[in-house]
Amino acid sequence: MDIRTKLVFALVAVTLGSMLAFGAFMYRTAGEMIDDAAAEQLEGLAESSTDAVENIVNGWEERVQLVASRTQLRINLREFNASSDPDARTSIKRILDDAAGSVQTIAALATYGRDGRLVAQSGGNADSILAVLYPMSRAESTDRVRFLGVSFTPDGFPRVAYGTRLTIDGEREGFLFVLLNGRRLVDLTADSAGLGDTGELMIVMPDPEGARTLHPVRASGPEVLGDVLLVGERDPARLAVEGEEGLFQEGLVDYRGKTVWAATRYISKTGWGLVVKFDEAEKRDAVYRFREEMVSVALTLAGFGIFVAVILGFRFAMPIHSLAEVARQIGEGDMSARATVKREDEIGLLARTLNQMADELQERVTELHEFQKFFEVSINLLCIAGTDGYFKRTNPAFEKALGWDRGKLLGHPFLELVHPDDVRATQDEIDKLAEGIPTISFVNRFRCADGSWKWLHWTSYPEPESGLLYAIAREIEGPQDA
Amino acid sequence: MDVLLFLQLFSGLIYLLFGGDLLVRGAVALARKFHVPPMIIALTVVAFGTSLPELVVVVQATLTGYPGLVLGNVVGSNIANVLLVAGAAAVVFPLTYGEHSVRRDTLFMVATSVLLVVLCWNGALGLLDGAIMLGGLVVVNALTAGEAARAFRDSELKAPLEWVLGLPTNVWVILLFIAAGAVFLPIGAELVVDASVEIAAVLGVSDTVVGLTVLAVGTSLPELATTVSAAIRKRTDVAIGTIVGSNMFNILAILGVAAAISPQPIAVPRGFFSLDLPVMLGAALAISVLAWLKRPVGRTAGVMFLVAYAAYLLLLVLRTQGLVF
Repeated sequence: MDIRTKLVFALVAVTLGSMLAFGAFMYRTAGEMIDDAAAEQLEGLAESSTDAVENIVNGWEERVQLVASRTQLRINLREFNASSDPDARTSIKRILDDAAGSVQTIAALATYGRDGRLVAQSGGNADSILAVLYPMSRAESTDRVRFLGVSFTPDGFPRVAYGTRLTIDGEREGFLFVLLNGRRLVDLTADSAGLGDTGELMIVMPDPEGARTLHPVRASGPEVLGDVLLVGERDPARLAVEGEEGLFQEGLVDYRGKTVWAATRYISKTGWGLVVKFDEAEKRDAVYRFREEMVSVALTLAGFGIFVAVILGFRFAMPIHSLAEVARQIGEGDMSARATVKREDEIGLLARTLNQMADELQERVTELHEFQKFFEVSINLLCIAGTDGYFKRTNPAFEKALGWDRGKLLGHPFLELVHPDDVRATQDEIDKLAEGIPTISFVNRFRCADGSWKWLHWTSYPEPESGLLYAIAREIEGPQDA
Repeated sequence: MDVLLFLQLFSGLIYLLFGGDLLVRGAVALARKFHVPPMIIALTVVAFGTSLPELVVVVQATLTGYPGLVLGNVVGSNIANVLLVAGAAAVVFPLTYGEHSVRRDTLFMVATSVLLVVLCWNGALGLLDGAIMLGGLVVVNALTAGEAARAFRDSELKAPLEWVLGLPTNVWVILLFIAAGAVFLPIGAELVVDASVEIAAVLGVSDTVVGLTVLAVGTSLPELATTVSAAIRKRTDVAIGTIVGSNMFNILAILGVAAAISPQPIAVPRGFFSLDLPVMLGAALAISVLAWLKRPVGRTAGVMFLVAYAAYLLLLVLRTQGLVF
């Protein structure tokens, strides 16, 4: 594989690796971040909603207190207790009517005398409720305004009952009961701002049959007010009304059977529970979407990494690539190929050196070519032989004079071609040469291919380091008697 | 406007190119490992593999329900290839004709473009239209296969160093190339289609318009880069052949596949007949006439092409604003 590809691969691997690490980190962190954010959101909403409910409750108490503090009411009640004076009853009735008329929240009022009989009332249909609530409160021993309970109108709206003892100079004269519209509570739970797509704010009120929840149901069809909706053991409404406050991000299942995350609060003054909840699925969706977005971003960045990697790979590897191309051309015998890379770094040095080597090589090749010519055209017999007794190279004149082809000359020990009478002398001469003593003049006979003998006059020069002999032979006329 | 969407589109194109290259190299290396003759490799693996990025995008866009993206991209690419790519390159250096087959190929391209207009006439591209286009692809390939083989034989005489060294030899590396390519291509397609659809939503235009413009220019960027850089080096003899081949392939293969696999017929917007298809046909004719007259595409023609492209984009913008047509 080429360097460019390797380089690109390495850079891409680094990019993808870091993006993968980033992605994995974000993947894990995203979940935690959204969990934390959801927790804060739930806690915040629970806190502010609790404050709102408490404000409403305090407002109600103040209104009841306002009515109870009317001195005229208590004086008239004492008079009525003492004399059953119809005028006193009328006065009481007027005061109650006045209060019901001026305070919009008040649905109904009633005053009971010391003996527990109804003295006067204002507003409609409060009787039955008061009849239930009265025995609960007649033992009341302080002047405190006390929350008595909730009833629901046929169309499902809550009405909240308060009562207080009426006294003059510490003497108990009777009771005041006030029934207030709970409309503001419904408005509060109906406001789904900040609750996402599935979130609900619920006010849960204890009930002999379990609990009633006060909230317009967003998730399933028509509004449900005041239905008994406690289903499972781990229903956030149940936890809230049982006074278990806290934040729950697992294991809660609401009235619809959906897994939810919830924050619960307990309103101690009224004994109500407050629940803020989201469907877990919505939060999981948010995590999923966020993670998907993160993956997209990571992939996009990694794509740019690949782009940069490819560009860098090209930039860094291209000079090496072109040097390799030049080296290949030279290797294939194209001595004119030269590198054109001009740089100040190692690659530039490599290019310059390659060009120098190519120049040098070209020069040597030219020289060699010139000497080759001498070797080939010489009429003298030129050869390079080893002290091992073999010719290494012979020139064309050699083959022409003796008639042997090059294969025969190089393939056999040359002593085989020397005349048997000259072998000993030749061997001695070779031994001398092996010791580094040049041969100035030596004569022996060589066998020709046609079987005749030729006298050769040798001049040799040894090169002991390489064990080679450089020899020149000349054909001479041998003695006539040979 | 979310810049990240354009980055995502660009990044997706990078994945497509990189993944396609890896897959082709891996496949070629594998084929060589099994001693498949180089000629067969060139005509099958390389020819098919280099078109894979486009095909992956087509499949992704069509199956996720945005076939308009493909239609827009094909028509927009064909316009951009001639007017933008050839135009820009010709301004740098005149485009000449190196191959003898260019004139015949331009004839094929014009015929293919006319075929597309005819198939679009009933307002939708369905399975039958797709089959006709794919059939046309087979015919054109059959007619030109012999020549491609000859061209390859000539080019093989001097294999560039990339082909000698650029291919992995180790089996594991080969498999890594193929696997990485197979992973990158769908990622790229997903990013490109996703970004295009979101860009369309942000700009408030149809996916077809995004295909015609943003995606078309995006997919023409590699060609633009290679052709212009070739023009800078004054080697423009293959540019027109490449553009003509790419335009033919766009219609016959890309749109053919999209029409064939789309669950519903691909709707052709009315505006196509008054602007986009005429411009595509006109661009194809313009470059073909120059080829038939053996006139190089010179600087004047190049400038005219670029002006025409700018005018086309302007009309397209005006149309999306409801100001014309």
